[in-house]
Amino acid sequence: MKKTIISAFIIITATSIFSCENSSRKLPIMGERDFVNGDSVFHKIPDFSFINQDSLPITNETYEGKIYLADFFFTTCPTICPVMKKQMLRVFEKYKENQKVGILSHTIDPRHDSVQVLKEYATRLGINGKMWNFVTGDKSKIYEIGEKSYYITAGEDSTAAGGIIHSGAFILVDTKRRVRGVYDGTKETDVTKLIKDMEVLLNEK
Amino acid sequence: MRNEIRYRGWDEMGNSLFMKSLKMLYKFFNITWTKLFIFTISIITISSCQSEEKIKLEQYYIGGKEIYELNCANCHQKEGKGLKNLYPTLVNSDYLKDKEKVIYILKNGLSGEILVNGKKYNQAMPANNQLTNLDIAEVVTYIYNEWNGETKITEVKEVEKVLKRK
Repeated sequence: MKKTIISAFIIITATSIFSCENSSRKLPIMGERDFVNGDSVFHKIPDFSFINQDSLPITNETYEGKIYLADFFFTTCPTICPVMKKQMLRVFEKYKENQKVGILSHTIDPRHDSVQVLKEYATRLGINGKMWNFVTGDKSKIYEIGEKSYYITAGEDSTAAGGIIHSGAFILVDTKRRVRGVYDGTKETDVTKLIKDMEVLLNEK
Repeated sequence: MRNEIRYRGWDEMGNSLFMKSLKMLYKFFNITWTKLFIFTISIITISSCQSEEKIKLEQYYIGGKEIYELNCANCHQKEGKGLKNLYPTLVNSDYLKDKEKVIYILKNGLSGEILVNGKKYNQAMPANNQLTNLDIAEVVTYIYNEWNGETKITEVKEVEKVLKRK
């Protein structure tokens, strides 16, 4: 009798532990939050509008119902961008057929990176289709959304190689335009974690 | 008196099975370590017989690898294969046949379209003014020995000659 009780107890504990690990890993919601009428309101990516490598307007509506990854780069960057792009290509290869995933790469050097320059850059990287957008636009708007909404740093610095310093972050945004993760796009291990987190986010209801 | 007691205690411990096996282990490792030591010494002696030229090549190669990974690998990648159609490969590259041109570009950068192994590339390469002539000699030695079938040093003199001329 005692044995049955003990074994039943063990089985119940084990199943509950396992079920926790499997289903309930959740990504944090990042950024400051407000409380309005007793509800928490989370930090959200505001409306935006840029132009992509095919001269098409890319706005927040482009990413409706999708999770997406944002990053900031410039085509003449000799330092971290090539490394970031190599890592982003891993994500692209994995999700290029998935309609629920997008990538949004903003140039932080719009003066040089025109639509044509971005088009050539994307083509040379082997990117086609609508999954990965390289966007340009009003410089102040790009810097503003980068710093205030995606929490990245960027700025001109004549002493840096390429003339601009910026962070190599990949920012994961969910279908409700909330930031759910920030990863170092120059590190292979961090991007491996990111891909795992994307799976979690895709399965979130 | 006190010492005697302590000694006796040691003797008893020394006779215990545990201590005996410890001693045996110690002897065993002692022999292995001695052998290993002799082996290492002989390896060092043999390798020091290498020609000076070979040692210098090794120094250039190792130094060049470090410089490469710091200054070039972001774009051309650690394995030298470049990235898609954006950055050209350095492995068995026909562009590297003209070494003087390569030395010049390493220091001064490059822009405009180029043809590498039949493929067109058009991505500017920045100048590397921070590299000394020795740095360039080392990195060229690394690139040509690692990926382009050379087994010799690119001397600092060669670099000086090219960079002075242009």
